[in-house]
Amino acid sequence: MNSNVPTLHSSVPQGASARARVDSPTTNMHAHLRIRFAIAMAGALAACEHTAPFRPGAYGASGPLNPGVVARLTFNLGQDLTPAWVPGTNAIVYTAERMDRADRDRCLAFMPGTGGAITRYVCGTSTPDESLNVYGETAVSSDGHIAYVRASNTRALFRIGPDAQQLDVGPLANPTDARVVHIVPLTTAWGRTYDAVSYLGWLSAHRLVMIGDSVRYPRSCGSCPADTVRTGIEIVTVDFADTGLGTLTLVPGTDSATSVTPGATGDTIYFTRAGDSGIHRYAFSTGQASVAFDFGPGRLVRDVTVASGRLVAIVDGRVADGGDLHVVNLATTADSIVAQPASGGPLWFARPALAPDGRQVVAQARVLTITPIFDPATGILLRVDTTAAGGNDLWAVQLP
Amino acid sequence: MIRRVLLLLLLLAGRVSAQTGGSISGHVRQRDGHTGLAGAEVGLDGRWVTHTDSSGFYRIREVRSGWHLVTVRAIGFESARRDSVLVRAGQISVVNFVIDVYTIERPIVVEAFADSILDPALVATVQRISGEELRRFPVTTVDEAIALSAGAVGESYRGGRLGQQAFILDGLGVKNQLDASTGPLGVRIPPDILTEASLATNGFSARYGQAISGLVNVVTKDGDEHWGGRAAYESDRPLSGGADLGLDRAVVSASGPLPGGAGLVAVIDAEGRLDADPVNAPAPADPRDPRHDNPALLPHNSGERYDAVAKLRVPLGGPYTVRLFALRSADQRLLYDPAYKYDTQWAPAQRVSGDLLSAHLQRATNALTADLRVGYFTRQFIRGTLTDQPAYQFGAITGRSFHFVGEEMARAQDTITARAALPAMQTPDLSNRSPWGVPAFFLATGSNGEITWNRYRELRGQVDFSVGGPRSDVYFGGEVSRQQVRTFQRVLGYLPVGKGVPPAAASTFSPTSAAGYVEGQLHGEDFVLSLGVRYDQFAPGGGIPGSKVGARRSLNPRFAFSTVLKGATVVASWGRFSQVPDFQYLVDAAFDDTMRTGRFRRGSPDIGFEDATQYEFSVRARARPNTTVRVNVFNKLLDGLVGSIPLGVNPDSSVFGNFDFGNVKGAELIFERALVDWWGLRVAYSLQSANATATNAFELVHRIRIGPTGDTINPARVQFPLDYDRRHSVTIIGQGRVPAGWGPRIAGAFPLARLEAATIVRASSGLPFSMTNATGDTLIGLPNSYRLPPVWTIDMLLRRPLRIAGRDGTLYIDVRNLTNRRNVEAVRRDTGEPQIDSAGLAGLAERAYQAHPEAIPYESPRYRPAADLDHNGLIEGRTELVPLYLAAARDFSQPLFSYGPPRLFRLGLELLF
Repeated sequence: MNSNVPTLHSSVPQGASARARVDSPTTNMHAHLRIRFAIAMAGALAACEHTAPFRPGAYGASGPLNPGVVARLTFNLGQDLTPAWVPGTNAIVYTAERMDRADRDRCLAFMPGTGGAITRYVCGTSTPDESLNVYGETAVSSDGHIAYVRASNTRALFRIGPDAQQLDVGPLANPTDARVVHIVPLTTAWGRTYDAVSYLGWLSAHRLVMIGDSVRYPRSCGSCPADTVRTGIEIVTVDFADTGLGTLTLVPGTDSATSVTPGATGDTIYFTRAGDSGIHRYAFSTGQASVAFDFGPGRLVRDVTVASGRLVAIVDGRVADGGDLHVVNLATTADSIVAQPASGGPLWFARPALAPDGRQVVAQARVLTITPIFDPATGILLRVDTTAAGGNDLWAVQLP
Repeated sequence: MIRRVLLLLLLLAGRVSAQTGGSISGHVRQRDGHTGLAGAEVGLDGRWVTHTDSSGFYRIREVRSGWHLVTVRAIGFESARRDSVLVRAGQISVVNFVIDVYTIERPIVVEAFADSILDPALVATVQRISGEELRRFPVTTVDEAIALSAGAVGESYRGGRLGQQAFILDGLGVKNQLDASTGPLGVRIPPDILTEASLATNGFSARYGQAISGLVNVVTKDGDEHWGGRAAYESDRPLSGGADLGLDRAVVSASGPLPGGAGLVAVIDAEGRLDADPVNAPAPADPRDPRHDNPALLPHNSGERYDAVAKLRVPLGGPYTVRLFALRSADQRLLYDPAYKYDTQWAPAQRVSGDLLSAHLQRATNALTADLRVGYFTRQFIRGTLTDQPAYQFGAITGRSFHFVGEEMARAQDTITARAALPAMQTPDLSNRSPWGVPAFFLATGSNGEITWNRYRELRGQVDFSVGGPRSDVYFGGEVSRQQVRTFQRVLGYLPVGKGVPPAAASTFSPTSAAGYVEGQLHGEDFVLSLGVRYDQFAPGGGIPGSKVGARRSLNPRFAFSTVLKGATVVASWGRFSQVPDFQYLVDAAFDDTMRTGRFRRGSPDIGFEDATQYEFSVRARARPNTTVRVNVFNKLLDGLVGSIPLGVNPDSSVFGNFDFGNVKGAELIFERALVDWWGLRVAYSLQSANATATNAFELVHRIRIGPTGDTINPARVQFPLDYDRRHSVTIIGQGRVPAGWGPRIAGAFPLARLEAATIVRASSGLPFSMTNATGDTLIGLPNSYRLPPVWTIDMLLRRPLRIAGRDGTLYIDVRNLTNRRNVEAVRRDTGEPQIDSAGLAGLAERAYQAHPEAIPYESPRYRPAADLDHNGLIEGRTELVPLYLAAARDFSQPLFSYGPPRLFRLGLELLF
């Protein structure tokens, strides 16, 4: 590299003066062309876009696996429960049991209402921990808030019921950044004790409606596993401000309530009662109650939801396992039962969520196994045993 | 005739590698009779500095590298001048004048530039490149230019470790004393301000002797006599696919005079790259891998750097000159992490910034030159997770500094706050955005939780004296520097300290270094004797727990003897060199490094100097006027090298000490033909053997095995190659230039005329590496007993000068790794290959499957339809899941960084004004 004799330098040696030059008109013209060429070169260089690095694709599923009028949305081997619609979107949120986590947390899962991949999970911790956390009974307001019941249980202690429960309200964008509206269990001002709360619904930006429940864990024998029996006590509203606990108010005439849902405005609720075949309607402004629809004597009715002039409820079946999905046109009082899916059924539905436009229902469902029992001696049909599968999955029903 | 010239050079009082300047000497003779003209006045750059002696001889000492004007006047004679006299550091430029008595004939000037090949006063082993050559060669930075030297392996010189070199800028030492072996200097010299850069690997002056591998000396320009500058833009935008790596670079420089004889130089150099660390790894075979179709660029791998420098030279009258220098560099990069391939927003980033301010007062006369230098250097490094992803403004240029999670806490060294989990850090979870879907290998939702910050500051004062006589030169001086070190590191920041999460490591201490030297050259009739001695000391200062030893001291003598025999200069030299170890080894930290250490390291506050003793014999000859040959043979003994051994039972814990010693010996052959008659050539070959000797009992008992059965001899000591032992290395630099008016005429122009080309061919044998068993806790054979395959590359630069409206410009294309050769630079220690083998892949996949054997339902973001073979809405069982884990393992294990860089293009346009 070290040249030790005079070298001919490149175009202009550093520090030396530029060569003298006499310009002619022709030369000037060529010079202008060269200027433009140089400017165009630089501009062309700068105007090109660079090649972009690779990016991951969109790999998740879109739409249901097997489309149809009744289509299965989830295939989780764990429990998928209590769907709710997110107002202003075509999305739902539900409680999904995370079988991919060691703690089996039941987290909030957001997905398109028409099926496809979950877009977001909301869990208490991003990684498994020592406790089982459950986020359930979700309700989403139209102003971007979400209410839910959060329960937790230290796994190692093998308790039957949760160690702690609370009613939380938080922003939909970050549900875990929530404030506690009420601790559960709670005792009301009028002396009722609720072991749990359920069927949350938004009446206004600072008012919820819900059912206070009694929860028991009976065993059919000393060594048998305990059942969880939840019984609705009554309906209450919860008024809350930005801080502090909420204030509970009893809704009269709602004892033994089994489900509740807000009406089109925050002034009305629809509810069902144990042993009652009717759908009741209550208006807060007038304090008046009425029967919106009656399915007929002896019918087992619960899990009502209302939107866009339609009413959906679960009828018959078994309370613990679900039942048939009925759709009622409130204007014409026409009642229709949702047909079973072409494959994958028959099903019993529970906790339906009717889309705000009334065109779709998403509900948790269990697959039934129907077993006829015959007299071995005579071959006469004695009964039909209907057994529901252990897990709940979400199904979507398209309504006309 | 040659002998007379050689003797003439011998009689000249040379200098011992005074690094920023050379000297000018020659004879002034009358045309009639060629007799020497005594008493003629000789001037340098407009200032009369000396007179000719009775023989007409003159000498101007301590001339700064660069271009100068020499003038001669004498009563009764025509004045003569010669401009554009090039002076190189450490060289003597000979300028002779023949003048007439009141005639109009132009004086005949013999211009013979200094011949460092034959100059016996030049005892150092120096290889240099000028700023002009930097523009002609396919190199972009000073480091790339220095790497062309024989014996250089990147920034490793003669087998030395990274960080064992010293850096001298205009005579002032600059070094990242904190972590030079693992981190950059922090400041970068824009090539446009460069006069020259050189690498000295032995025999360098005691003034700068604190390096055991090599000395990189950079001399910058002073302001030009006339205002001028350069503007250039480089890019690879017009290219497509793998040729476009998102490069944009703009350089603007200006230089010129100021009132009062002052001069100013300023340069701004900015570069952005969408892929700042391009890879040349093979594209994955699986078409589902997004890198399959676009293997060239990696996401989250962009970088931008800015360098701004200004230099002011102010003559104070008489022999006094002051120079003020300011340099600011910033380099920030996104760091690609394979674990975050599909969620790059969680991958780490880093920023390095540096500032250098210096003032230099010089009193320069021919008899005595005194230099007073004061320098302030600060460097800051931070690495961690960004608070926000950068927004690109133009290419990869964001124009804004990166901000990091936990940055304020790290700068404050707040180890108390750092005990809790950092609120802004989230625990990473397994990603669901990969093509495979399975929960394995790839991370998301949170970063790796690291925040690392360190700051190094140094205030240095340096005074140097140079006294010259007719047959001798003496140099002496000293320096004192006060340093300040601040470090902080927190890992796993999304978790609180405890339960296997170490507390934050922080350190604060203020070392002090000092040195003194004296050196001289004695000139005999046909020999030159150089003697020097340097004293170094450093003290870590208070603030380091467990420090027992105070200041460490070292005395390092130098000796060189040179003579001219039969037209060749022969130099024999011996010298001892000491170097202060990186301060990072004194404190607890968790740096990534080359020291074979684990993750959390115990500092050793009593570490001392690393030492080297080098013997060298070199022969330099000028076979023809334009051709030179140099042969160097050297033997360097290394002692007190910093090494690490495991500490305690935790395999991730280690401690440092001056454990290792070794030896580097080799030979260098350099052949050079200067660029004359349109072509030039340089061929450099080096043969080298660099070995370390280990006596560490733990390593020898537990890791190193001798004997085929692996359970036999535990030797007391073993020798194995050093990490940078590259046995054979060849560098060929060819230059060519097409004459004006040559070639086909197209549209009134000769497109090939004046085309310049430079090609660099590099070939070398592979570096050593160690093989281990599958778990990595036992070595297979001795350390570094295996070799990577040979590597070679071809780089080329084509330049076409232009003239635009009376201004000069150039269109150029710079291509590195022209053949796009895939050089293997790293391998896996368990396989000896860059890629993992099938058994390793199967093992990875199986372990991942066993960790998460659960089924993946249809609605899960992890569901991949093609893997659901029975279309039942579940990916379950070994048949459906294991192939996904295998594909994910193959994706994650791609040997992205095992290969050298790919073919790189720079299309550039520059204008001179």
